[in-house]
Amino acid sequence: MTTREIYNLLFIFLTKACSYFCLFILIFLISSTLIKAWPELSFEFLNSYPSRFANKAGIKAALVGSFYLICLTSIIALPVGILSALCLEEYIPKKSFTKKILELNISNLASMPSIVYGLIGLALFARFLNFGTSLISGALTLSLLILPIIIVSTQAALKTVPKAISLAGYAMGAHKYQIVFGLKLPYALTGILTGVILSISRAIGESAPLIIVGAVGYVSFLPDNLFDSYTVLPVQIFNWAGRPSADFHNRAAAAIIILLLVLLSFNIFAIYLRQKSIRNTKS
Amino acid sequence: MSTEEEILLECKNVNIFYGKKQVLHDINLKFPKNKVTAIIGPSGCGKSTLLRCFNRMNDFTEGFKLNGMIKFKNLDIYDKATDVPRLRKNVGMLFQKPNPFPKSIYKNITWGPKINGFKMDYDQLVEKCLKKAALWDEVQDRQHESALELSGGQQQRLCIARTIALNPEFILMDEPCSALDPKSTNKIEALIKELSQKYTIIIVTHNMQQAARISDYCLFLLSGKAVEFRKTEELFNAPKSPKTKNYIEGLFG
Repeated sequence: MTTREIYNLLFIFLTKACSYFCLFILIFLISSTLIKAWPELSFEFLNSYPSRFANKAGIKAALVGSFYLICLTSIIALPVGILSALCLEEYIPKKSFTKKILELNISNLASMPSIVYGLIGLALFARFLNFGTSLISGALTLSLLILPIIIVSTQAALKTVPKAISLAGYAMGAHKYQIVFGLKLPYALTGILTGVILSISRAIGESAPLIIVGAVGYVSFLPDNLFDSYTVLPVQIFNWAGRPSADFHNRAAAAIIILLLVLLSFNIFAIYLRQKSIRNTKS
Repeated sequence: MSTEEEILLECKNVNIFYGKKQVLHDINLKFPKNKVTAIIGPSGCGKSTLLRCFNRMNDFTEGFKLNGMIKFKNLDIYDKATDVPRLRKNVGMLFQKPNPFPKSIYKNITWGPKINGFKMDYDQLVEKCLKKAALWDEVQDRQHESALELSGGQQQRLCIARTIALNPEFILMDEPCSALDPKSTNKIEALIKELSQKYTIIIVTHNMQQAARISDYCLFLLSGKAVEFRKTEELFNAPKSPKTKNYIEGLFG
């Protein structure tokens, strides 16, 4: 064997070792959680409110809270994010100073730690606008958190639209809005949706900013308006995992499994959409 | 140019710049109505640039500047007050690579009329346009399938169909066969012949045989200058300029 062949084998071994290492860690984490969680998982667990007694505690409030919060967040963040991206991509001149400043800021925001968004939310929504520790404060805070991701991914999706398509549209006498809404958005739609789903799944998993703006660990009712208190899955998990009793730790493990299932289904849907968009655009 | 032809388009002292670089020099031409005019010349001579002036598709090119005047009937194309989308609606355009919309065959044809507010029986329109573009027999059973499933030649014919759906006053073609195989090219050429009975067509082509086969008039451009513009037969059989002669004999370009 020559030295180059040996290097080749070594390199293959190294890349494989690294990727299997990641996989191993993931499997270890999931299986150790699952072992704890398995006896706890039941319909009772999904359908009970939290309790002082570990064996009666459930995640009904957290599941419903997460669901409400994500719906609200989407309603707020999607239109704002997608329209901002359209404005940046289509209406602000490509090389202008404004566009550069805006894009720099947005990419900065996208990489900001989520706890900082919590502090903004606390100051702006909870205190200044006086929404307190309510569902709407949480939703607005999470909207801020995922806006940059939605904007960046929507922009990326719009950039994939071939120029030939919009030129064909212009050559047929279309006005710009007709190109944007009639040709570009439909073409980019699956790409936009993929980004949206990934950002929403990030929002579902967030706990730090919500703890700051006041999602509480013990809620024994379902929120019935925008200004009610609420809790969400990650906060519930955080709360249970911080208790001294091992029984609550097992409950936390069970809640983690539920959260992982929710995230997994979102990501599978995103992958499905991406495959579909690849199929649609092949020519 | 013979005097008896009706004039559709007229260039008067047209100079075109990209930034500081001048690409077309002092073009003075009259394009006759209901004829096929071919523009030939070596790569980079400004053929496509000239073509794109007639529906202002050059507006999307950075640094584009035009001096002089281009008249379409009584409309000054580059006047500030010109309604550009309306102008483009009246001018069909076919691109080098077939570029159907990623929509169904049916919607490819109806999109143009819809955005321009035409009120009509769309089923009938689609059938009429597909028949005119010699595509009806091949696709009549799958009008609602994606246009991207069609072959390159079929896509280009679909692009012709969607262009004539707007009933344009003339059609610009920018090397419409350069991405197609010989068989599809034949079909498109036959179609151009057919369409020329009703439409004025200006076609840019690299292929001199093609120009000779399908055009009534021919313009030879060289380094941004109009060298010769005459009836195709005359230009190919008895070129006046030695430059034209050299080019059509394949000495350069």
